[in-house]
Amino acid sequence: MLPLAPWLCWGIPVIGAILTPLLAKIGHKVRDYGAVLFSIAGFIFGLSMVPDIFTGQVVNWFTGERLGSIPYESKVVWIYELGIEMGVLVDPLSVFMANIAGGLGALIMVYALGYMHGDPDLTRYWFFKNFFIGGMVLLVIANNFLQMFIGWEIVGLCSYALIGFWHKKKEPSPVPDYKTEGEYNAMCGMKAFITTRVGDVALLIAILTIYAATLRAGPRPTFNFLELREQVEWARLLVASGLLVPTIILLFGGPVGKSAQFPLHVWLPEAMAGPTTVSALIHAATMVKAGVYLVARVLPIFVEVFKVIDLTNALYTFSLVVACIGAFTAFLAATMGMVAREVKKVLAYSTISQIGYMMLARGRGGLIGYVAGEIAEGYYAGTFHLMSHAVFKALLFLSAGAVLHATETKDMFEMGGLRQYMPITYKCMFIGALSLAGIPPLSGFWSKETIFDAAWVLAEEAYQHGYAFIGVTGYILLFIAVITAAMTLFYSIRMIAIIFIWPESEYIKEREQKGEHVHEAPPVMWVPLAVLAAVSVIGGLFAPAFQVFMFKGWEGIEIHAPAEIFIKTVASPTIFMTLGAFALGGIPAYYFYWSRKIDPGEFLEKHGFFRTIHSFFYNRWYINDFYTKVIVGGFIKFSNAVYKFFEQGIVDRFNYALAWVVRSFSQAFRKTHTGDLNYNMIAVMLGVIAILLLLLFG
Amino acid sequence: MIGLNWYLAASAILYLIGLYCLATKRNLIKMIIGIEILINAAHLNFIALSTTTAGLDPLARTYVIVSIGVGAGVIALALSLTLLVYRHYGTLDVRKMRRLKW
Repeated sequence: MLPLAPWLCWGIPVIGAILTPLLAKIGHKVRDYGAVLFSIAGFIFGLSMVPDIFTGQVVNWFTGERLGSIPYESKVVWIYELGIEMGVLVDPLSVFMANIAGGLGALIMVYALGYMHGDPDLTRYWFFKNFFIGGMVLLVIANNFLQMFIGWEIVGLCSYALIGFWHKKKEPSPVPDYKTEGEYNAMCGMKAFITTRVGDVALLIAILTIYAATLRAGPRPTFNFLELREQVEWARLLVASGLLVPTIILLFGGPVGKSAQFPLHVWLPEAMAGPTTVSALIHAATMVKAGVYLVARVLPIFVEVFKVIDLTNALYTFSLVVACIGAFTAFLAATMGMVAREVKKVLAYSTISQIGYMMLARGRGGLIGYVAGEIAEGYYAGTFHLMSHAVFKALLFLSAGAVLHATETKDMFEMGGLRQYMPITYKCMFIGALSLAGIPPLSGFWSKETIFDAAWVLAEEAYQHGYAFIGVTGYILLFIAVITAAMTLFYSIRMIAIIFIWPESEYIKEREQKGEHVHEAPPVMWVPLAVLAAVSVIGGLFAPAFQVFMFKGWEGIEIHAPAEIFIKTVASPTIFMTLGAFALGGIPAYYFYWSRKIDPGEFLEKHGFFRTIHSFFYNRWYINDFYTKVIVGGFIKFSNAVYKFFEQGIVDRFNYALAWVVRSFSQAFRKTHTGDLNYNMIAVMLGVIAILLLLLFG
Repeated sequence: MIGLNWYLAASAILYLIGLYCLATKRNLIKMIIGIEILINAAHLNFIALSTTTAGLDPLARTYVIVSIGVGAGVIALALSLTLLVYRHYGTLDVRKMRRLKW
């Protein structure tokens, strides 16, 4: 790697963020291109770590010095006795995530040059964007919980600031509760911030509990991932005090919030109020994957530790919770995605749903670890899907951004017929949508198949080892995953058809008459699209290399040959389920939206049952309303009660009483204040005499 | 040689004169003179107490010299305020200046 690469790959974007306001003093062009260059430089440093993972040896390229083998740590210890240190960890997972964050970050920065061109608040935009990239890479490359948590909060802050980026917009608000669109955007940012905070608090409690356990049980307190894996005393202590299961469930609370899993999934659709580049980078490709990353980071630790202290039940509980929440979220979000009206909302729901898939794969990995002793299968599947999803979802968002940029509306039903105006965007988005739906031979197919396969393996293994309950659970999870795949295909086709294939809407026609023609995106925008589309097409070819990459440094993992992986995927028992899912989702979608043989609106009119389901899905299962009413409303009621009874009843009354006492006291003494200096001096004199008398006779 | 008590007595007398001046005089300028007498009473006391058989303590002398310098500044400020007061009220009688009263 380049010298100091694991430090500089997040240090450079952070420095770039700090320099942005200074560069803005020189000129706008310098600021824009400077910000992009900083993110690209950070990415180059991140990329330079990839060869080291393949060779397994960390080598400084300039001096040729061999620094160590994978996993390689470089750290600065601050307080050794308290285990507080700052360090970076170079291992397959961290390098992989750092490159996803840095690479997509750089690409989206280039795209933003075109998309955000001419915005008056660009300094703020570039600052938070670079700061986000730095924070995200810091999060994934940190070698301890504490530093990871710092990155975790940085990305949360940037997410909040960028969702509400257009808080000055004066257009009318899309929802009636707010006056202007800017106000609405700011509220969306706040909603995201507060909702994820719930999970973050749980995560912080878990981290500190583990730390406290290492503090008491020894050999020395630590936040470090590798040390936690080596030491097992902390786990023994937690087991003894009965805190282990609550702690690891709380630890999962962080990922639930950050990765928008049920029950904290409500913030992600509102997060789409931000600029599309922000949605693409933060709310699709990277930040929401932080939770998936964290689960991947702690799962091997748990497996190792629980194996040593012979406590696989905790692993079982943790994995089951992860898998079930993942599966349910995947299903829940997909149903909402089928009926959403705004293109970005569809993509947001599909993001939640796909992250659910990843969680599901991780949980299954843990369950396989429980029944068969190794987690590689599900672990790999989740990570591979993370990669392909990051690429095709960024592609979809950037394409949607190009469409939004051209039409200046968010509503899909106000578009239509864009294929003729934006052929390149159409092709790219089409590839992205098919990849999302998992159509072979695009990258989404390979990764999704791996997840299904992992579920199948879980069920088989569970039966073989005599765990009937886990076997049944495995089949149920697989079933939910396949149903979700059907719905994914449905909403992908629906989205593409409504935007590009349907006849032009009244809105587009009006714009045409006004002379505002819909135009193709400029090259600075469509070149990143084309790059991402190309990666989506050939993504499946990376699978063998990716397997070699991910399992570097693991022991006892057999790495399959490329042909073997291909055959295993194509000829797996789950392939028929996948084809069935395509039929289940694709055929109705084709008739409803592509060929338009049946009008969806009329269909809903005729069938009351489907109308009920539609409105249930459209209202997001009423979960959002429930939270607004019960939690937000409840909190406001509680605050009002506190104001009335505590603030007004006790605090205010006390203050009034105090003021009354002081005022009456001073009223009594008021008469002595004549304002005549001579009298005052006489008083001083009397005082002096009194002191003298005291000194003389006292 | 004059004993220490004489100095202290002189200082106390000066102090009482200053206070008397402040208590009875109505003219602002006269009151400032009273303040100056008070300050000098303190100076005299300070110097007297610092004098031993070995001689004068240079530190105390330094303090007093600095204090005289500062006192001159304070008096200058007081006189300038007096000037402004006169312009404002047209009188120097302190009994007529009751606007500071609560």
